[in-house]
Amino acid sequence: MMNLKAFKTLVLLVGSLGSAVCQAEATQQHNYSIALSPGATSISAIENVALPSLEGLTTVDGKNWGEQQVRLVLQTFAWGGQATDRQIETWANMAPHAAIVQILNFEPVNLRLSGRAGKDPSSQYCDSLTDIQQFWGSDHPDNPMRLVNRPFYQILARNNPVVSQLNLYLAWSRLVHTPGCNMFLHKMALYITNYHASIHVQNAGPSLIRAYYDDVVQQLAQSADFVDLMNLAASHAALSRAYGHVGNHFDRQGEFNGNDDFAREYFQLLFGIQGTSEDEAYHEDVTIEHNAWLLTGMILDLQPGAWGSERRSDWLISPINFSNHFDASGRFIPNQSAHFSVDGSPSSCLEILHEQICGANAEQKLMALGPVAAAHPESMASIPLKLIRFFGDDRLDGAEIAALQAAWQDAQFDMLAFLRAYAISTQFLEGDAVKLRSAFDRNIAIHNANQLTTEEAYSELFRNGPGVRMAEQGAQVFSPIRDVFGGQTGNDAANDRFLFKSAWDVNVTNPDFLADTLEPYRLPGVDSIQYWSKDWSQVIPKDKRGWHTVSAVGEWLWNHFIGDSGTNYDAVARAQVHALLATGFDFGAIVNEQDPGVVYSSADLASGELAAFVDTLGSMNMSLGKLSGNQRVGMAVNFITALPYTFASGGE
Amino acid sequence: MERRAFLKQMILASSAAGMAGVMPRLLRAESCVASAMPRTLINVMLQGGADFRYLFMPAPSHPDSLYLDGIWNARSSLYSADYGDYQQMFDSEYLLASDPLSGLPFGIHNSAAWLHSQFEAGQVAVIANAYCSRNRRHDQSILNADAGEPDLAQLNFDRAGWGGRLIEAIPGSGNVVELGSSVSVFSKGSQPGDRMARVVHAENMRGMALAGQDEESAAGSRRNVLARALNAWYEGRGPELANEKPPGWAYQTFVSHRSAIQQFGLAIDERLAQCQPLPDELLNLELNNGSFAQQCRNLFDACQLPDVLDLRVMSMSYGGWDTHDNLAVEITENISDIFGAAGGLATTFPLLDGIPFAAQPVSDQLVMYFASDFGRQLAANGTFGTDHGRGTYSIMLGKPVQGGIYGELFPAAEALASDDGRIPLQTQGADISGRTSTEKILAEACEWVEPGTSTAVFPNAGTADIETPGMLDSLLS
Repeated sequence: MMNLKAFKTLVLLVGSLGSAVCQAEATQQHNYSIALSPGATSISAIENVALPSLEGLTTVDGKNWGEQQVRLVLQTFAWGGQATDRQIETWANMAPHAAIVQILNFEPVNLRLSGRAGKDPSSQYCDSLTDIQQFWGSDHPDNPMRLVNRPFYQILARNNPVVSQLNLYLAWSRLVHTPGCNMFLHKMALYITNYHASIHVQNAGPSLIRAYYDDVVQQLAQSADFVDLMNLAASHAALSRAYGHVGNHFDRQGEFNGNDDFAREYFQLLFGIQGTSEDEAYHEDVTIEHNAWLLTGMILDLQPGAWGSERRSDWLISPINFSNHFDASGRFIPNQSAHFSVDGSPSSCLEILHEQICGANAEQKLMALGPVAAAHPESMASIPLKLIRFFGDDRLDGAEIAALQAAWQDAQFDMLAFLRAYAISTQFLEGDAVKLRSAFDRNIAIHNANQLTTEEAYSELFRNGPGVRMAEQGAQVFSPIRDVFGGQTGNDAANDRFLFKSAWDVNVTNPDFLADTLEPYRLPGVDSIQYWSKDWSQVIPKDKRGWHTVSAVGEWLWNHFIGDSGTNYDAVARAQVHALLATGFDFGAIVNEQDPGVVYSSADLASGELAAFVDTLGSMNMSLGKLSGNQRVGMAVNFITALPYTFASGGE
Repeated sequence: MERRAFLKQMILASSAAGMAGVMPRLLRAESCVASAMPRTLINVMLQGGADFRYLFMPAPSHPDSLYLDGIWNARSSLYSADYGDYQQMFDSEYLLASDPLSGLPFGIHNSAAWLHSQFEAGQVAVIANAYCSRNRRHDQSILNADAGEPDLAQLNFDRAGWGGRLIEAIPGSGNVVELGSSVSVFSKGSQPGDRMARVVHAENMRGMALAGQDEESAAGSRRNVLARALNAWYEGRGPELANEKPPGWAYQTFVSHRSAIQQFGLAIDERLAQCQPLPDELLNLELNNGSFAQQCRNLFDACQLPDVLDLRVMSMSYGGWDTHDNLAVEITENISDIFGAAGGLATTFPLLDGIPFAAQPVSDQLVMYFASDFGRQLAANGTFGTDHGRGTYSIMLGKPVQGGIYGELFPAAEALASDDGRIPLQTQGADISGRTSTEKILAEACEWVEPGTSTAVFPNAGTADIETPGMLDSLLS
């Protein structure tokens, strides 16, 4: 078994050979993955290199790696992605360790994962909410966004010169289903900013929380190192303001003035250290107390007029300048002298977690503390579980927990290596992993599956993305329901009967949301109204006769939205899907128009006239080139996505 | 931005773009069936660690002047710097109350004027020096409080809550009705994989039913087609899956959701259609926390049909009590919302008396219990707030409550040097010393709801801490 270090060495070696088709994803020490240049078709040299197995996790055997497993990985880690059937087949035919480096990486653009519609002009802004808001809200000639949408993505509100929270929500909700943008990267950034090192927009403000998100995305693109990421979060202006340690300081008499809020949560939330493995008094009175002292001198600069806003709170900017200085507004910012060490000596130290944490200012001390905290036994035990409970499995048992902890130890804080190893592990793919889906997960995945082209992505009205449905169902990005304890989890969603009701209700009362087939829109400089129309024939394959038969379309749709290779596509569901696709009506209505509410069981449909009728419907040919055919597909999509199988995955 | 505000903005934005939003339709009714309201407990979880030491402060005439000086020095930064002394602060901020049991004068913050009136009416019990957990961590402590297990050290939310256990201990049927936006551990039952079997989630009592067929639309309308198709699948496959799949099958939860909503939703909608519409006072209720206002509306409606809901326990919640900084502003808003003269309960409770009843008036049958993660530290921190502590006050409210103070409201020991020589009121990090386990308090509540249930719900209550043995024996009647 090749260990991680050996693998990194090999990758560096391969990289140095100057392969014409390959490029290293990043040059950071902890980043070893390999990605193709867009459009490249073969990386056989790299794919034959074994991805390092991590202690505790066994890579699934190649014969147990196929389309169903690829789709499960996509659903679980990347909101389904937008990969083509051909790409999924390609991954299914590759060795799992080779496929996974293409599926899961932190490049801002991953055209294999989300490039269904080819290159998109927004792709160059995939690593920045700020940049993409400015692009989508602009009159840039390459901006593909329909005219009416543009004011809803600008930095400033439509009729008010303040940074818009609403536009920030809408922009993120669109970014995560934008062709080309790496959905795995953004799911990880969501995890960090809204779950793991979570803050609430009402405490940080929209400008700072956007900066925080962008900085996390860009840090991930550079390095998947957990310590680097936590150091970024802990020293970030957005957290300083949101938690309130922005005001913590030592006064001229050397007295501490502040609170211990983030001093405590730094350990508990960022590193999973509860302090239960040692003397409680030491944890409370030394570790937390001294960390409160460490978190002094973290005042934010004010830049008058920032973002063109007239609201003063929008003028607070990131990053924190940890020195004594005057900011752009002329205020004296005593971040050096307000820090624990009033003399600014680099030898200034605080005892935290039984170590001397030294540095001239809060930033330097945080950089010193991060590796200590990450290596703490409680952190080593809990961080891998936090990651996997968010991404892969809500029901970890004792053996699985032990295996994940061993793997995290072996991964040396490399989150990408850890998640890749897990994604192709027998524990995830062959065990009993169950992932309950939050309203983020479910709605974005459905939207990704339902969006077929770039034109569809940009002609869609601003309110018709997944954002509104997610908000209706309790998942609002940057407004985590538990504030610093994070957003809606899969467990929360599963325990919320009203969320289920909301999901059901919207599919029943507003079927056009998913079954929209025609959308008029305007672009600047074009006099005529443009029309986007849905065309499922572009993605649903024809049979050998060149037909789209109802049964084949139904199976394809089931697999496209559910991804279980038809495991749960039972006779009752099949009857309804066939009826909806063939006629646009439900099965009960076409069997007995006078009494359409009759319920048919699996036994009723197993044989006899009803079974034959289902087959007859299935054999009918669909005209997917016509709007009516696409409307029927939309009805089937509404039906399929209101079944239990979009609320969770795995567990079979 | 709250979810409600966000959605409101979306509707406004849609309107601005020429797209009208759809507003919910209120049900109208002529009469409501008078039902017998059973004894019902309402647990209100105040998430974040409420600083009830701010809510209750000693009167300037407090007999222990050392304590008075100590607490003023420890907490004066929480109040306006304009106050010259404690008397001035107290007169501006607090309403004088008197413990009917001991005669002790003390103050209740004036943002809680309704709570003060209820206390003066003998319907509020304050149990001092209570503890529901042994730690200072929000998530763990909320779990401890919801589970009713102060010593639980595992952070595992797949657990029965004491509300769920109480329902299971009551002979016959009964449900926990969750009035908030998500079902907490408090409400969950003891059956792994089916912990919501006895939970009615009533996030919006005026919209409980699943969207079904619209009788005003054609049978072939897209809505009606989809409603029939989905109903046919869930009703056709649901019972089959229950037999085919093993216990704990991941998707069973969602089949059960549909079944539960279908079962209660239609019945609730039909009955509420016969009852009075939401009174204007509740329709127009605007609080700092919109979710709590909605929960108050749900509370009123739930009390209109206790028989349909099979009501015995309800659950409410209110977040935002983690007051590390600017405590006065934040906590005053929260307290006003819940306990203020124009707050949610002050608005709702008088309306409950207008609900037709079969035996006892509705409000005679309700007891509210206010829980929080933990209390906060005694001394203010440097950002005009207080940091996490452990001990706290428990508050119980209702006509069946024997009002008064239970335990030492302001422990003299907090102003005296402890074994390590430090005076708690002068020591950063010191907190209220927990002397009474909430197990003891809540066991009394269980006995009131249904005699004979406390042992099953709180098996350790018999040996749990209590400040003075027997002091809670007459807490409820």
